[in-house]
Amino acid sequence: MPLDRSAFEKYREFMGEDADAFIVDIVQTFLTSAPKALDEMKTFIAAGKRTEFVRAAHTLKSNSATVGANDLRQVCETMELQGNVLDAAALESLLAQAVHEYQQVETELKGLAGN
Amino acid sequence: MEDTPQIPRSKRYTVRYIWWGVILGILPPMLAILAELYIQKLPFSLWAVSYALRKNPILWVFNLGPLVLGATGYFLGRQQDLMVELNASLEDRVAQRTHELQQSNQVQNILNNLLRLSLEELSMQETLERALEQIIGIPWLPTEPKGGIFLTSEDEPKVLLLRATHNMAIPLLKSCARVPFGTCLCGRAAQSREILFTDCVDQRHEIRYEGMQPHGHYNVPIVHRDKVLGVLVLYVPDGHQPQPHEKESLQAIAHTLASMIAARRAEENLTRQKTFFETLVQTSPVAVVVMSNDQTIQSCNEAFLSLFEYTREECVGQTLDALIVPPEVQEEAQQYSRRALAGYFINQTAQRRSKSGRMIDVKISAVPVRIEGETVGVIAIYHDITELLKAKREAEEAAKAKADFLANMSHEIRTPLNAIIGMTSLLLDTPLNDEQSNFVETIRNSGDTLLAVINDILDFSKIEAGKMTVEKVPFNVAYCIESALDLVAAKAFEKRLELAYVLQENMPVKFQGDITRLRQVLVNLLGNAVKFTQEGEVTVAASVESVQGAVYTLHFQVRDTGIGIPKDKLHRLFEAFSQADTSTTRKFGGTGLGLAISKRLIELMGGTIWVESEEGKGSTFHFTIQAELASGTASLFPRQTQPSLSNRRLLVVDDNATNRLILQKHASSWGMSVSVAASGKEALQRIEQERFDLMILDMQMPEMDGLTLAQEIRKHPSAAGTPLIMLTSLGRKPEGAESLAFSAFLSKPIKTSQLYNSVCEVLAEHPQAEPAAPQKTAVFDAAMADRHPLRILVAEDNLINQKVAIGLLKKLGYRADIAANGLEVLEALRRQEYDIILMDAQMPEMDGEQAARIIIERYPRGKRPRLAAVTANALEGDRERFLAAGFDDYVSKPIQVEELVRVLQNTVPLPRKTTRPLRLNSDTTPSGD
Repeated sequence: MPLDRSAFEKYREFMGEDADAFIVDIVQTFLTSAPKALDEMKTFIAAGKRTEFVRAAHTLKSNSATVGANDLRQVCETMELQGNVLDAAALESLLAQAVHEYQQVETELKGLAGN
Repeated sequence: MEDTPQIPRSKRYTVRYIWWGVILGILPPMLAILAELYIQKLPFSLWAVSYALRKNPILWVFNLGPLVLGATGYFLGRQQDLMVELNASLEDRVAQRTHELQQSNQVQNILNNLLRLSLEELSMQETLERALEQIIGIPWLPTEPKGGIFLTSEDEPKVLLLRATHNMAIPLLKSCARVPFGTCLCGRAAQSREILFTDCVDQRHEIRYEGMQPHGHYNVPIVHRDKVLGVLVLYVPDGHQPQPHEKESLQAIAHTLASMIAARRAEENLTRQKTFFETLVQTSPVAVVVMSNDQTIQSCNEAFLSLFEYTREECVGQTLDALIVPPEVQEEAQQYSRRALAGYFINQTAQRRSKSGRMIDVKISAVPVRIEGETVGVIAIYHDITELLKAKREAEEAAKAKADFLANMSHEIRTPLNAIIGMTSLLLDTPLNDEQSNFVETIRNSGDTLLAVINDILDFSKIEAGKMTVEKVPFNVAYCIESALDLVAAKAFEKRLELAYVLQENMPVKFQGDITRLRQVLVNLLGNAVKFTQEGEVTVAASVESVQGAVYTLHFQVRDTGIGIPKDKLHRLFEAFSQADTSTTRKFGGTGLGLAISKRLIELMGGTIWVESEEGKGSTFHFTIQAELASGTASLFPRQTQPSLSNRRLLVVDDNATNRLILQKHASSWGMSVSVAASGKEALQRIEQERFDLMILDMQMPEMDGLTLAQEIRKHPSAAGTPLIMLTSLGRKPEGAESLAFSAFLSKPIKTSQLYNSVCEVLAEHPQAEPAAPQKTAVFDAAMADRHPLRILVAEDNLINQKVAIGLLKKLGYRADIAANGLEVLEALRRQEYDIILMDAQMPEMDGEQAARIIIERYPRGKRPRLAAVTANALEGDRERFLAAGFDDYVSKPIQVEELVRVLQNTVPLPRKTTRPLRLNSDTTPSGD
């Protein structure tokens, strides 16, 4: 399962009636920010901006974990840890994997967000 | 036709043809006259001829015959002669050309032969001899069959050494063995770099011998790349006329010789170097192996074979890793090999296996062998460090055993001493008669003395073992001097000595350094001063000697008006176990270690110590230390107003009943409400039921020691923030204590004043706890913020994390502020007080750790918000890392509700000061209590 729905369950229980609005807000934010982050990362690789790349990977990792996109989180973690070590080609292939993982969860997340 | 020898060849035909022309030219006039005589019927007489000649003038025309034919003969003969001449000269030229060709062919031959020599595997000597033979044998050179070759040497480039000879006269072999440049013919040729020819023994021929035959010489310099390598010397007969081609040929030969010699020399150098290095490698005690690109062994030395117990045949051609790498580290070893082949230098320690399976600790150095940028193999060097590691382990074990022994001794001595000092001081507070009081005082003083001795010995051992370290914490110089003076005040008062201190006007007083050690030095010097002074005064002066950036050199002087130190004893003063006089020891007591310890402590603090003294007048001890100015505004002065200790709740945890009793009695006398626990387990039970303002934990306890207990307390939901004081009899901070945020460390035996000061300081920073902490409730709802109001700052750059944190906090009823990075956090703190900051560890601009460090520096405990690190790197040890960095708590991401609630519950709100803004930049800010 690309998306781990239990990530939100913990919050849902706690948030009670506010849960839906809370989750929709988080997921919406993720759906707008993640593709932007992936795009940015691509340009960072091309421009050799390793620090920025690692930072973007870190943020995306954190956010993927929040929404329960565990596979995406895994790839992001690899990119964060290896961002300063690997060559551009390797990073690009990791990034392509990340884009793929994102596409896997996108539809399901859109379902969660209600569109 | 006969050749007339008198006539030159070029006129032979001309002369001959003229003769023939004249002779033939006589015939026509004769025939014409005879015909005229016949026709005229004249008699054959001279008269008739004369008559006919006069009568018939045509005859005169015929008479011109000899002249005409003679002239024709001349022209024809001349023509012929020119032809002959031309032929002859052509033949000459052909002959000469043929001769030249033959010569050049021979030169070529010689050169070829010489070149062939250079291809043969000959030594330099053989090469020179064979070359000389070849040259002397040249048939067209008018040389006599003898000669020689001189060479220069690397060491003496301006001296010719005779290296090869052919038939040279015996006396010359000696006298020509060494010819400096410029001397004799050869030296001159070498000097001028030009072929020198002489047809006789002239004055330039300096080296001669008796019975020398007349002769001439060709001296040919052998020059290679502008460097004179030597001279070729050839003999020619006396009076020989040199031919131009001789010089040219010799020049060519010299060139060839030069390149031959240069090549041979280079080869010899190479061979010498190769032999040198091979010997080096082969006889090296270190194992060396050469590996090709496919990781197979190309060669190895004896040490390699003996270290790994293989024979050469077993090694060469085998894969190195397969031979000596144990299977469990194959992967790692492969990586080394690959890295080395990729051109990296490897320097690693690892274990390798010999043929018999013996494991060997080795230090591996591997270097790629690169030829013209291409890696062609790897040289690996194995140092057997098995013995070294063993020795190191043993040394470490010995050092540890020694340290353990010292720690143990320290513990064993201090524990009973603690009872003696503690109980006597309690005893002194009970009603005693004068005699009893006197006895108790004596016991008490003896205990103090014994403690001082033990401390000295332990300090000295620690210094000797290199274990003594100095801390760097903010302190106040004035306070340090005052507290040192306090400790000797009683003694000075007894002897009616004046005690005083003076600080240089306007000098800064707040520095970073080790106040305990500085005070120790001052107390030692002051103690000595008081001890050796019968009347007068003891003063301390402090001043700034120099400033370099933020580093100050502080100069302290301790002056007394005592007995002084004899000059001849001054130099031994700072040595261990020496006092000025052993008799002094008997009279004044002491271990004689004090000054030695002080000297080492001062050196550790970057300074020096020296003394000026005059016998009978007194002594002045000077010392300097280096210290950085303390930044920040932590209150460095002793508190003007002591916090009220009454009714503050103290928990004493110690397995030793005597110690518990001493602590309890003291603390109770200050009005504190004291609870005791005899073990860590009991203590944990107590904190479940009650909240304490302060806990004093003994380090050495059975089952659960002080450190473990502190760890448990730090994890406890409600007691985690309680200030802790650690009691230790080890004479040092236990390892691992740093991360647990102890407020103070006290060493046993407890000095009442020290204990009191520490308790006051700690409690001043920690205001009264909430009377009855609300117990953890399972319901998290909007009511939490009402029950436990907090001002919260969320430091987080990530929008989603911000939303999650704000969302959860909102659900609990809290409204949190947001900062996107460390700088914004500092900015926010400047505007407003917060009770807690939830701080992301990795933020741009300024990350959480940096921000935390600055906050801790700027705001004293009790005035700064609680700092909780929030991090997505849920790594083992992260928690400890953040606690060590000064964070009070730790939350992992994604934030869990339970964790968030726990962190909030553990946060004690700061005292509200809504009416008065926090004054950050003033030392005089009263401490909040």
